[in-house]
Amino acid sequence: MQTTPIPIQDCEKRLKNFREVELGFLKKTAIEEARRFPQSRVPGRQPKCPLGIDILEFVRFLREGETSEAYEKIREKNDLPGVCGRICSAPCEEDFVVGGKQMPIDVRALERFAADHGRPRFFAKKQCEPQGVMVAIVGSGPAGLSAAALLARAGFRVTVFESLPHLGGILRYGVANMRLSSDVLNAEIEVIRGLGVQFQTNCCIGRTVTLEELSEQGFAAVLLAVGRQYPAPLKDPGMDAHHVICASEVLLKLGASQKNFVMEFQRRLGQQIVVIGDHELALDCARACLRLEGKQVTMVFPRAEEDLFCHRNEVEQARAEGVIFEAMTQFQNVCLNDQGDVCAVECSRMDYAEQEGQWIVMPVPDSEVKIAADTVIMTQGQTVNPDVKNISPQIKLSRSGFLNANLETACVYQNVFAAGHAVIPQDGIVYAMRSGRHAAEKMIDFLSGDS
Amino acid sequence: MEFQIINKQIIGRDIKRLDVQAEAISQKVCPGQFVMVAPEEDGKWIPLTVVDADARRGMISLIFQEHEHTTRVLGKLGIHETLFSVAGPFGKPSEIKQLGVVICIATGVGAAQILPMAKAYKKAGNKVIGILSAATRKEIILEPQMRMACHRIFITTEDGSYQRRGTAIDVLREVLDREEVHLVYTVSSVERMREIAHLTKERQIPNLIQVQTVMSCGRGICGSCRVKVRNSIELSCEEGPEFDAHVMDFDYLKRRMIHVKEEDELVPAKGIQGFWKRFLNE
Ligand SMILES: Cc1cc2nc3c(=O)[nH]c(=O)nc-3n(C[C@H](O)[C@H](O)[C@H](O)COP(=O)(O)OP(=O)(O)OC[C@H]3O[C@@H](n4cnc5c(N)ncnc54)[C@H](O)[C@@H]3O)c2cc1C
Ligand SMILES: Cc1cc2nc3c(=O)[nH]c(=O)nc-3n(C[C@H](O)[C@H](O)[C@H](O)COP(=O)(O)OP(=O)(O)OC[C@H]3O[C@@H](n4cnc5c(N)ncnc54)[C@H](O)[C@@H]3O)c2cc1C
Ligand code: SF4
Ligand code: SF4
Ligand code: FES
Repeated sequence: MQTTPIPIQDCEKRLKNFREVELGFLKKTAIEEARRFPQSRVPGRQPKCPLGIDILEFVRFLREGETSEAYEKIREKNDLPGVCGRICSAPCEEDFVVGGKQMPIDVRALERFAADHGRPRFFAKKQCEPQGVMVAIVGSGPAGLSAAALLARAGFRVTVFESLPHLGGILRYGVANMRLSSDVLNAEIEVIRGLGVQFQTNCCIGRTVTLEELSEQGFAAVLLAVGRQYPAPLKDPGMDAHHVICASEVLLKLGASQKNFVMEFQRRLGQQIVVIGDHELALDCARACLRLEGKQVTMVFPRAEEDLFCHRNEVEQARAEGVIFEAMTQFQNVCLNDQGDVCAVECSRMDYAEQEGQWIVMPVPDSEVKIAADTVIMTQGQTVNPDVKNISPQIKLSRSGFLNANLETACVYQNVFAAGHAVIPQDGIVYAMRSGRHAAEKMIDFLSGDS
Repeated sequence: MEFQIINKQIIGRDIKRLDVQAEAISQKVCPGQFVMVAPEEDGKWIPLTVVDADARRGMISLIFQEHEHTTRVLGKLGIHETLFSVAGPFGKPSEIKQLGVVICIATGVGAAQILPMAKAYKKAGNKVIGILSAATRKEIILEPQMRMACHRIFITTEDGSYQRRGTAIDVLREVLDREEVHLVYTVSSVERMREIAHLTKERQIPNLIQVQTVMSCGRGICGSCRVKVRNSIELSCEEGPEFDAHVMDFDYLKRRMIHVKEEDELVPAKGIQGFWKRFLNE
């Protein structure tokens, strides 16, 4: 039984604009899709959302047509429903088994429908001015925003500091506009602002405002949700060719679709682009580059196409748009022509091999293949920005580039905590939000503990 | 009001100075640091050196030459108008020590970047000699401010239209023969910086430079500002923009620098050909 596909812009039209590709369910299809959900709590493997959203509950509300209750149900555990409804990597959908049979259900699309249509028109503007203890949050990515929302509801006076001109972190500057439009993100942030959270942009902690000044201004605790955006792969040997570019630069320019960034970047990118990576980030880069005229984009990743860490809808849409997938190929190195420019990418094919009863992916010996390219986009291996170390001497980075924090109590030292991509290895908005909420709870215990 | 323009001066041919209200930055900025400026909401961010900072009035001064889109938009803004965003201060602050005799060399708009350095070295008790050079007289900028910031100053123009004829490196050779110099600080085009680095290497005089690489974020996110130092890649927005000239790979730097259009490209062509060029560009 196939799920009803979510309506999307048709292929030719969407290649010419940076607007959202998925158009979201109509009311009729959403209720039909919700009706296909099993009614009772079938003991089989339940869909588990890392944030703990009670999926069966909110789908039950949807089935009865009460979208605002479904929206409230989601909001209990998730402070960015509109965002997650569009770009969450949706781990909840994989392990959904009903009556022993794998049944693909588009939970994300239902969540998006609830978020888009469920918000009550007259959103009670309870402009609560929490007078409680002051808390500072560094970074307005998913981790920072969900921690801010939880702390604000618990009555703390929260200020979020963001070094870029707009809020949202990767949601604004990392995810392409075609998957998450900025006005949806602005609406979600306005809801959090309604909880009494203050935002300060263009303010880089450690450079514009130091940690000592934060404690002077009366902040009792600080949460570092600074993410992992430092382009470490460019520093590896053999990666210094000029047209080896980091994905964050591509999406910084095409994602925020700043006017004269796009035109200028168009001239800089070559014609044959190879994107290395198997995450949403690689897929985003590939599709964003396709929207510039005359670009041929190949994606190289060392796994099968179904095991990509991307949502299956997006993989299909990317294939329809013309991204060439080089599955089961492992990137080795970049080969240069005599002027030192990128001319090809050397990779080796991979294949499944059986080892101690387990299928693992092994490189096939002497199966080197050269893919012609004049631009290589690296999408993996970003680390925490070492510049964070001059926020305070006690902040250290682990060898693999994470913030050194005790994962249990999310505490770096004394009243400084850390959350999000900077401490957790899993990639994904929903894991970053979970780690943000976890850190917020620990901060509440810490603050109520000693106050 | 944050990022409001308090004062505006025209200094030279399409070179302007803006004093901008930026409370937190004015207290933190050190010589050699820069800010990322975005005049328009969804426009580009460009790096500009903080030439002067007045912590009491919470003001920073920027001097820039109008090049293409973003700097031209910046130039059109008047007093009391506000910039969309000014973030920073970025870059590693330079360590200013008491060394003795320091030579500060700048060509063209590089004077905007050398002025704060000259002031800092003078305040640290060094004898500062300034060398300004440019193609023609009109391109020599900040002469009065540089006179105040340096003990002695030499000005050369390539076409001899002002004071001396010649390039910066001829003057530098003269000064090096006459005096015992402890540091040479250069802000100029890649070729000039390479020549001067070669000269100072022969005479074992430390030589610092400031690079003007393409910077799309200024915060260590995009990697477009990378330079090669001692055969390893560094981000010039975090490790720089000041580097030791003797270990800098200038060929690599040449391809990373902001591609400054040569003289004739900047002057709009006259007649119908000029009209079409401007029409297509706008
Ligand atoms: C380009 C890209 C695309 C991605 N796309 C997807 C996707 O489609 N789906 C998905 O599920 N996951 C995606 N991911 C993974 C997911 O986005 C991240 O795991 C998540 O954004 C991490 O959130 P965070 O809050 O920890 O950090 P971030 O979202 O990176 O936010 C950190 C914020 O802190 C700010 N900051 C950093 N240092 C300072 C400082 N000193 N002072 C002030 N502010 C500071 C930064 O400017 C940034 O705004 C993507 C990741 C990247 C890099
Ligand atoms: C640390 C530092 C300090 C500086 N201080 C000063 C100063 O004090 N005064 C001053 O006048 N100038 C200064 N500059 C140079 C200043 O940044 C340039 O003048 C400015 O970028 C030109 O902007 P524009 O819009 O006029 O031209 P741009 O639109 O930036 O175009 C100029 C050329 O540079 C290249 N380029 C620029 N940015 C990008 C990008 N993001 N991606 C790809 N290509 C790009 C393009 O090839 C383009 O042709 C500094 C630069 C640096 C790095
Ligand atoms: S937030 Fe993500 S994982 Fe959780 S229910 Fe929504 S789509 Fe599934
Ligand atoms: S023009 Fe090409 S080689 Fe030169 S800096 Fe830009 S991207 Fe690099
Ligand atoms: S300018 Fe983006 S990393 Fe230096």
